[in-house]
Amino acid sequence: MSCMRQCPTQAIRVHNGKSTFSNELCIDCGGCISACPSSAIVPSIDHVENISHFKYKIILPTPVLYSQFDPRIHPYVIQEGLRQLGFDEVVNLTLTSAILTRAMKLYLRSYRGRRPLISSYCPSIVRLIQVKYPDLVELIIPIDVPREIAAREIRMTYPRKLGLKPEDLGLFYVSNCPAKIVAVRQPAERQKSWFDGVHSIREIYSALVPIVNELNKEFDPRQIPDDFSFGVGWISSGTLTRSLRLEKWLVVAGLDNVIKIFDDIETSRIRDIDFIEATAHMLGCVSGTFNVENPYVARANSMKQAEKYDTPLKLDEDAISRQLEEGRFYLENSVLPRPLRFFDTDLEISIKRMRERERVFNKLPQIDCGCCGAPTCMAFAEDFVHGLAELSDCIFLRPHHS
Amino acid sequence: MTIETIKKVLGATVLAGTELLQTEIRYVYASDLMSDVLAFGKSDSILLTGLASQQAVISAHMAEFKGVVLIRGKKMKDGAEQFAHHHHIVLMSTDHDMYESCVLINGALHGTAEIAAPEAQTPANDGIILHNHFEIEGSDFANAGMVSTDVKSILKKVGIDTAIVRRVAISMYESEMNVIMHAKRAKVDLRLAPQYIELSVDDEGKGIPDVELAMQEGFTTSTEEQRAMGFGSGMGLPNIKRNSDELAVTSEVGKGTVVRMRFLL
Repeated sequence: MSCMRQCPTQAIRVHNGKSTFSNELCIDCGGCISACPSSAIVPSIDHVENISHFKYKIILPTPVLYSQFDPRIHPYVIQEGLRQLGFDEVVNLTLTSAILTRAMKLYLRSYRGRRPLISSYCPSIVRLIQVKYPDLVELIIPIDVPREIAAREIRMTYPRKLGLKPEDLGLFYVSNCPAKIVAVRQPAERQKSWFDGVHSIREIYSALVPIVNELNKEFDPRQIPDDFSFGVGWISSGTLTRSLRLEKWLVVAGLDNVIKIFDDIETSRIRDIDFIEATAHMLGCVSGTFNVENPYVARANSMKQAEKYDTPLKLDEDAISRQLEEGRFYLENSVLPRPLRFFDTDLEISIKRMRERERVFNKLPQIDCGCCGAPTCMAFAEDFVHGLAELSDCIFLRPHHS
Repeated sequence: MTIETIKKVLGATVLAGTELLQTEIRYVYASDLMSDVLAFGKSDSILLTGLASQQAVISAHMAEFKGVVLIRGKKMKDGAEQFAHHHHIVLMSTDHDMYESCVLINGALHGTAEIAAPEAQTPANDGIILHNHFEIEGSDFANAGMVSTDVKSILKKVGIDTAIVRRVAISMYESEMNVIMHAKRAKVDLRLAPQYIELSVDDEGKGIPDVELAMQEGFTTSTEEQRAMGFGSGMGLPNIKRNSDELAVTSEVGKGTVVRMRFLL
């Protein structure tokens, strides 16, 4: 039942010892995966083996991958390790992040609509808004995420550059969380992802560690090519906002906090803020479900890596501004609200049902014990009204004769 | 009386056994207690029940009933339709509650009520009102916004248009903040009807000496500290006025203020 209590959108019910979840309410945050004491919730992921039919394989790991390693290990060694795993090329996504940061700044500067705008890079946050805050959907910044922008760029340019057939080019993502895996597998903001496959950090890490340790023993900084660049990206909550250098900003992390902030936007308690960076996990992507390293250690690693290895980027500001105008950075499809699950499309019936919910709720002990299989007494009352629960499921309403 | 007649009287939808609607029944048995159904039910009856589980259909089958009507719009959840179909039992669902259903059937039996057409059954304005109460404590800044959030979640769940929900949420929040800043406590009444949403915030506090003045933008009686916290810029009531369709403010100095706002649906 830990998963049920954990779920931020109350999508999980437990009946007869088994959990079921509602697809329409799930925001792919992975809270249930971490919460399950018996590791019964397993996301479906691709396996590293089925990539051999591509002639040229490129891996674009989330920058979080680097933070899983000791900062004394040079990022170049980690990339070299990935190449030894069977990839022809490793692309660092932080250059794209830097370009998109710039594009976002330009977008924010010329934006005149309703505020605050909300960052779009955490897919669970985008889902949360779609599922629970349809009125806030229009506030999501329509700028796409670095991985897809980078992957599209590669798809457009590489086949010609390398004389390859488009289908011979294999692009793979390494994800730190289930939400990004779903975003690649079943993208909501585009027809199809530009990636061919996605792996979890956890999976790649176990294969990568022995190789990286071996390589590190013989590593000589002179091996690093001149064009090597490194950046840490938006992997901990607040890094994006800091690099945007805005005045009226807010950074919020952790779904409980995010939900409170979104409620406050709706009641207009939050005013005079231009931009909100919101992430589902407490420290941002470094706390993702599929990470191996403790999030605080990962964040520290990442900060130390930034000090040691960050290479200054030369961005062509005019080109970015032009590309933004051409629409190169925008989400391919607009984000739409998912239909809310209300009681009935007929308002009169719906009001009656709500009255029923209140009546049932008042009869319940209101201690949220969870024994009925619903996370809260309110959720149980709602399930009952939807016809999905029996009053006798509540142990307090059950007759005492047995 | 045929099951078809019961269906019409109750405006019921058939969940199983459409082909059996012409079956004659002799009695209607209304109960949620299946042991009573088995003990006292007579054969050739139809069962009116709120028990939306297979148990109801099994009991009806045991008692040789011809049909089961679920009240209050319930739906079967555990494959009871198949069971009903298999055992030739008509399974229907009506939006009426148990008492209404009994009265309607009784009326049809004794000719006191016309067999209601579906439209006639939808009560036009017979007080389909949701009435909820909330309380706000003065100076309770930690919980500021709770009532607005509760009201908002009720309206979303009922399926009110998001643009209206936003206006209600903003108005309620302004009102809530007024209570927290200026009053001891307040009772909030939410009334939700198919035609309107009404919120009334009735506070115990010092009252407003000049309501008209308070309605002007920028007029404020807040302290420096409150303004430093980002409240009391004198936009509260004007903001409610802008967001609501009707606003009535009555106040008695030394006793309190009642803010009543309406939003038309």
